[in-house]
Amino acid sequence: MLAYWRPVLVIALSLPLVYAWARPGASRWWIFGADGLEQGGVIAIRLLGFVTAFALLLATTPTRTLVQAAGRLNRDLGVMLALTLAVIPVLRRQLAVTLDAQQSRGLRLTGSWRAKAGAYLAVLIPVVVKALVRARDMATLLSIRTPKPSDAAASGFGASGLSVTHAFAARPAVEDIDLDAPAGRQLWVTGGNGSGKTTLLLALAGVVGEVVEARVAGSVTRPARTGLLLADDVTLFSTVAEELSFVDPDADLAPALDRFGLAGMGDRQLHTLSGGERKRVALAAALLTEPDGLLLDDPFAALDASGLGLVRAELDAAARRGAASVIAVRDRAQLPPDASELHLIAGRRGVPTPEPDAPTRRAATPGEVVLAVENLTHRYASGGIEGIDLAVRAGESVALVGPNGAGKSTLLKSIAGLLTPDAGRVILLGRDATREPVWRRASEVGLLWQNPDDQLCRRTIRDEVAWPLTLRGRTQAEAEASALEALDHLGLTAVADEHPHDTPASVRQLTALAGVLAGHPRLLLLDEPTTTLDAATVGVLLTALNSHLDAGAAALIATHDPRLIAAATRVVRLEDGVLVD
Amino acid sequence: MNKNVGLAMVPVGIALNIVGGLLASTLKLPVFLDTIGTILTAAILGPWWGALTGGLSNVLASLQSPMDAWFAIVNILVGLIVGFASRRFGFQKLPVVLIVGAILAVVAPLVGTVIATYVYGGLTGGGIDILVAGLMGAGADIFTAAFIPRVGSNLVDKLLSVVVVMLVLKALPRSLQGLSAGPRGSA
Repeated sequence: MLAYWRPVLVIALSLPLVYAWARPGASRWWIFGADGLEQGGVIAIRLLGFVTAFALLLATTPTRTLVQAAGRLNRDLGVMLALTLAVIPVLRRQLAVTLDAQQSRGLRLTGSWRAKAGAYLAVLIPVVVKALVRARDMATLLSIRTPKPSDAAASGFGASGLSVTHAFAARPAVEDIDLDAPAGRQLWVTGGNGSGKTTLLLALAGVVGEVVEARVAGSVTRPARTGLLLADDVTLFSTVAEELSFVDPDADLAPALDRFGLAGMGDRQLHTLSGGERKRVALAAALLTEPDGLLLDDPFAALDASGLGLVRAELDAAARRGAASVIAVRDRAQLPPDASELHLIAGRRGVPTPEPDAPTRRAATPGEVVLAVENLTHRYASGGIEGIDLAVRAGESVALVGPNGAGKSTLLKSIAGLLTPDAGRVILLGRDATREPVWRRASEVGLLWQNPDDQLCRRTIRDEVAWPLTLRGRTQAEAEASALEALDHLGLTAVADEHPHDTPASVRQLTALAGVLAGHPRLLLLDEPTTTLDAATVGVLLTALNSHLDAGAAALIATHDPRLIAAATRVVRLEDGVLVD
Repeated sequence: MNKNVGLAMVPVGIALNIVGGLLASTLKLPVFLDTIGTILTAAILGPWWGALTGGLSNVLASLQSPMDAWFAIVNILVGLIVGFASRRFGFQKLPVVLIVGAILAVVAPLVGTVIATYVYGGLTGGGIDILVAGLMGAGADIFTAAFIPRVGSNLVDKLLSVVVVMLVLKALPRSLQGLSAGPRGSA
């Protein structure tokens, strides 16, 4: 009984209020009239007591308990509160990332009110776009994971004459597709960026036209229970246990966590996990109930060797128990032998073209030292970099490799000025730039972020490329001319007037690269620049990069991509924050 | 519209209320801009989801500051007003946005003052209490003393908030604009 003292207190304090309002003969509105002023004071005291009790109830109840209680009252309310607690730290972190990204382009956070207002929008817009895209992905997962009465369910996935045209799009994302993935079989969907793989999977999941605004033609069949893995490792809730419990409230989590390499991680906050760990959680959520159909979008991204093995083992297990699987991948090298393949080109079934030749190593061309890092150290609670000595000369591209968490991004951010070193120096073109603010280095240092969506804030690709130049003092006309030149070098002239978020991820990444190259910086810092790029687009990136290196720039590239490593002048390896031979 | 779109958008709107205020604080702007998420959700999805965003924002805020609980009524009204306007006219035309901002600048302090007066006796523990106490000392009744300081701060904050949201909406790709694009652009 003592456990219920809080709600009992609230009810007890509100009873006099209810009586005063409901007693026979009482006017409902007398509290506001002249005659009711005296009695209004009494009512106000009672209201105050009720409010105080209610507020104390909220303030002393653990948040998790509040969410669970709300869920027992109303499922949707509980879901919303739980989602809110999960998404707040994600957006706060996104805000910090976008602040860094925009400052690295030259945005200053101080100055006149007008400058600050511009800065506010330049930071808020990318955060809002990512938030809205995340909301759409969350709605997709909620739709998939919420049991609903199904129409005549099939034993596998099928499509006949399927065409999907997104709202406000000029052409279909997927056009006239027939496919059949029967029970116990796997169908592998391949194609470059923007080829329609994700749209096809969402159409097979049944969320296109409901969550995703689009016109759908043709027919689709799917099994009664479907598991969906989205490409961006989107999760819904705060902890690993909550995420899996929502999918299967009756599941025994310990063996499920062991099965997916997440042993002991049930109480871990999802936003603190690495990309590979979040991928495992998302995979577990898709597979936990052993659905009859699996839709996996880019399941191998961000996974290490054991993760890759896990995915393949789970796919084989799903096939053995009779589930149908449709798996979308960017790299055809990930297909198993004798795989059943559907290759998409611009949304239509097509024939795969040969992969471009592997890039060759760039010849060493010794030039002046553009960047020299001496004993550079930056310590976090859980790592950082220690005593880094490194020099990069004009004409060189240096690949910076190492496992996740080695300190590659920390090193790049320290060089760009986003992090203040605990020790050491950053020498840029012969001058000590260690304590220079980041915006002052922006004209000489071009930092390309892993995810271009962290910084895109303008309405057209042309504006997006020109904007950083205006921050550094160029006139609008000069900035636009330089922007068009950079877009031309990257083959983006045709899309110069498109909204960046209406283009595929690879175009957005090239747009961000154009924004970096347009300023002709002497030092290029690229952080995992090819995660969204297919083989052909990697070639475009390398050609543009080499052109700037030939003109006297230097590049330091943090990467896992074997193509970039093969093309670099030399390779340096970072492990646990230190350079190793 | 699929209900799950609203269930996912409300939490994002609440988080954007926090982010909007945090960013204003980081840039040392003299306004709160902490209803950005409510206004955005209402403009995109309509009045009821906007009202829910505003109300739940205060419920969660009251976990740290209990007195915020009753001011949920104000934020619910913000969501309703913006949502109905967006549904009828869209939320990307400056005249519409400014009129909505002006309405909010009157309604928000009016309702807030009623709550502050009849629930908290006019004083809510914030910096504005100094002005309230000063006006009462000069002879103003409790309602007037609580209302006048609130009008000024709300006029600036609400007008700025709606204009910021309009500019953000205009910068979004068309597929994410929802109702805010105008009557033809409903979800």
